[in-house]
Amino acid sequence: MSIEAVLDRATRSQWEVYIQHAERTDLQLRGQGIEAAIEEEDTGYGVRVIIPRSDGAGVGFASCNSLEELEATARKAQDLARVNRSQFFELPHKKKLASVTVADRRILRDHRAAATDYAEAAQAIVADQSDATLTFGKVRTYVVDTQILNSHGLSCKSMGTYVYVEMSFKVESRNGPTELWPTRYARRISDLEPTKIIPRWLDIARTCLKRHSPKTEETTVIFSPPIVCDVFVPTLGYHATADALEQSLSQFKPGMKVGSDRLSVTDDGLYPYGLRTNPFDDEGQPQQRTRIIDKGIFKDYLYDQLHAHTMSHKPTGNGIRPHGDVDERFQVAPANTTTNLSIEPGDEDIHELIANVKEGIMIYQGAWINPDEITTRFGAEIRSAQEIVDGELGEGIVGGTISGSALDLITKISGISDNPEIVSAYQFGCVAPYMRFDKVQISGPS
Amino acid sequence: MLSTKLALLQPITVDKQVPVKKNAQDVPLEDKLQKVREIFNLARSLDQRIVDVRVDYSDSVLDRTLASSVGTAARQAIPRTRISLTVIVKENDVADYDYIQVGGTVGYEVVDDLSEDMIRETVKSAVEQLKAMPAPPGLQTVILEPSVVGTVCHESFGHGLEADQALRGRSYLKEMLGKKVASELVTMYEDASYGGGFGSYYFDDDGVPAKRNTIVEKGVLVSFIHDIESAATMNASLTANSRTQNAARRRFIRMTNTYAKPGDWSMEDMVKDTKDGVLMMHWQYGMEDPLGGGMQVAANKGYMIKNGEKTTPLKSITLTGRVLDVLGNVDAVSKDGFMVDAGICGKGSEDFVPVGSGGTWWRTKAVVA
Repeated sequence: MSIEAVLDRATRSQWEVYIQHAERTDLQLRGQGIEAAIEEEDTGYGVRVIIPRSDGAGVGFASCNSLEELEATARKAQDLARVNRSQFFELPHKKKLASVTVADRRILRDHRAAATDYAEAAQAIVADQSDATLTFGKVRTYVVDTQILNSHGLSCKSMGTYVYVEMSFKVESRNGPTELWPTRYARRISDLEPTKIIPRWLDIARTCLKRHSPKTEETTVIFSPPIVCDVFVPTLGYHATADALEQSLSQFKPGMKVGSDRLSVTDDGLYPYGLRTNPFDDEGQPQQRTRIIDKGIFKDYLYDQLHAHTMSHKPTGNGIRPHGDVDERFQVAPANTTTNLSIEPGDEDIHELIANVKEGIMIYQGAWINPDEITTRFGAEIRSAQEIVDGELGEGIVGGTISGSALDLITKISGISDNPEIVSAYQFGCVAPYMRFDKVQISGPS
Repeated sequence: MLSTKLALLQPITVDKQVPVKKNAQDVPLEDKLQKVREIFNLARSLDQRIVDVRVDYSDSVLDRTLASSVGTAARQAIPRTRISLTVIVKENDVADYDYIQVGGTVGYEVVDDLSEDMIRETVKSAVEQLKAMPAPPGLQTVILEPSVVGTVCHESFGHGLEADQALRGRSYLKEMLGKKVASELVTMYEDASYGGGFGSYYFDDDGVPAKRNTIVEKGVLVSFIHDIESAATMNASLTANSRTQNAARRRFIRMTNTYAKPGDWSMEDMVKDTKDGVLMMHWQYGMEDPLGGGMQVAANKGYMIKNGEKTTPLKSITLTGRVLDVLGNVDAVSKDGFMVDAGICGKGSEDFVPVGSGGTWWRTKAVVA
């Protein structure tokens, strides 16, 4: 029996199934050796059922790992929908989709070889450094085949690739060791090319060999692209959703001045090789580019199917399954969130951004910035930073706290660099340049 | 692959299930939803400034069987039930919230622990956050609520003592066994056998029976936590800390329930004895720094302390500092308020396992913001 027939029989309601087949290679490194090598292949099914009722609808979701369990899983989703209360909405019908490429040929051809080559290249680069050790690393490659079917006849498929890299680099001198511990997801290896990114990470680690704690003050701060992603994707992203609007929690209103004139932000579901780029979102709606903020003015919200239906708006392709593991998204129901938050670059290069700072700090890595989506507040230990004195980078800064609110920070932008990078924070996609802010709170022991 | 040594395991034969008063799997879904709606409706009715209430309920039974060539044939069923309430309030474009949670390796009976008084208190606390101020930044005297102390224990000598980090050359504590690493008021345990703890079990995923391990005794570092590889390599005793998120993932050395021993002070006297300081409450999250020896702990709210009294409410607070400084500065530990809270811990940013963390009230000095 076909999947459609199984789900029709099990639910007799609106249904949707999100099918994910993933193959992955996972290499875990210690120094020049391999601690663990894991190969995995798995298929998952996430079933959502919508039962119309006089006062709205019931929505139920359940997932499983085998086709044999699909009917029972659909019944479980149906049972949950019977006792649940939601607003009614229609699942999407078939629509024309944009053509975007989300697969890296190297990974598609042989994900095991791609991971092995990456790990060996990384280890070889570090082995050539007399002062550096790769204490721990993870290299994973994925080939993920995604299909969405629903009771309205929608059927869409895509095949994408991912690479995940986590490395802890220890660099030592007479002053003792220092560590940089980056993690990054990308769609293709060239965005994390070891010959380019690992020397850069090692250089950042080395900047903190000679280091001091910061003093407590408000000062000029430059965020590196990963920090921009960590601070702004969960916060600007949340306040731009129709979900936040519906809950009266969005601090944005269309036409409202929310930030500096320098700030323009797009939710770009079609950015070439962006982490969340796909022809369709996780409900089957076409992904698109939606301007959120234009020169500091808030433009419009992001809509998934539920909020588009209940708020009489066109969907923007922002029904996204928010799972941290790219091959386990079938385990969660779609939520209203961003695809790739793309911050428009400025016209200064990074050297000019630094050159215009009399006194300040360049932040490369915080412990765990994890801003609160509602209040947008954050506070994080500074793990890797560099002082800026008279327009030049100086000694490393480690320790102390950077804190603030993302919504406040976007009013204090004094510069944006010209060369954005694809970066990631857990499941989030982002395209971010370096950004400079004035009067940011830094706290230290003195 | 790296070659390695493995500790000799004693075979175990166990078939155990954590006893509960009320099996969550026997409670109809409608009853669980009804309970969630009762909590939602009560909280929602208590203040007009509430814009959203989130009640999260979860129950699970982790049923694991381990068989190995050493002769182990073991099964354990660990129920975990948790319920939390988050109250979000808004006034004049200022939004804030507070939360409460209860949970552990317990059954459905735990939902009754979330009492009406606790719901009312959470709403009151959320509303108070609307007027709260940012914490004054810099080095301060800080009094930490037991949930925050638990997070400090977890992020400081919990992660710092995972022996796989030592094997990787990634632990600043490797050379400090037997040395003073904290105030002599600090004694800390890592305890998979703690009754009802969210991180409890009967045996770890290597097949080692759970037990309480002292990791810091009166300020002296006593033990790392181990799996069979690190115990063999470091010639140490097994501590039952090998855990995996699920069968498809790798086992790592992980914490279970990490908590601090109570002291002699009362919380009330601790506040009275503090001229200027910050009280940190309602833990949120933390982050370790195995090589650098730093630490970050975030809490959702707090109060200023002036001349021995709780005064101005404070918004979310982040504590940072060198572990050896923050723990070395502990000058008061309370005898009251002991609790072990439920949480989820990642190895880095992945491989999540349920853990408990707790203790009683502490006073120390650290950078807050």
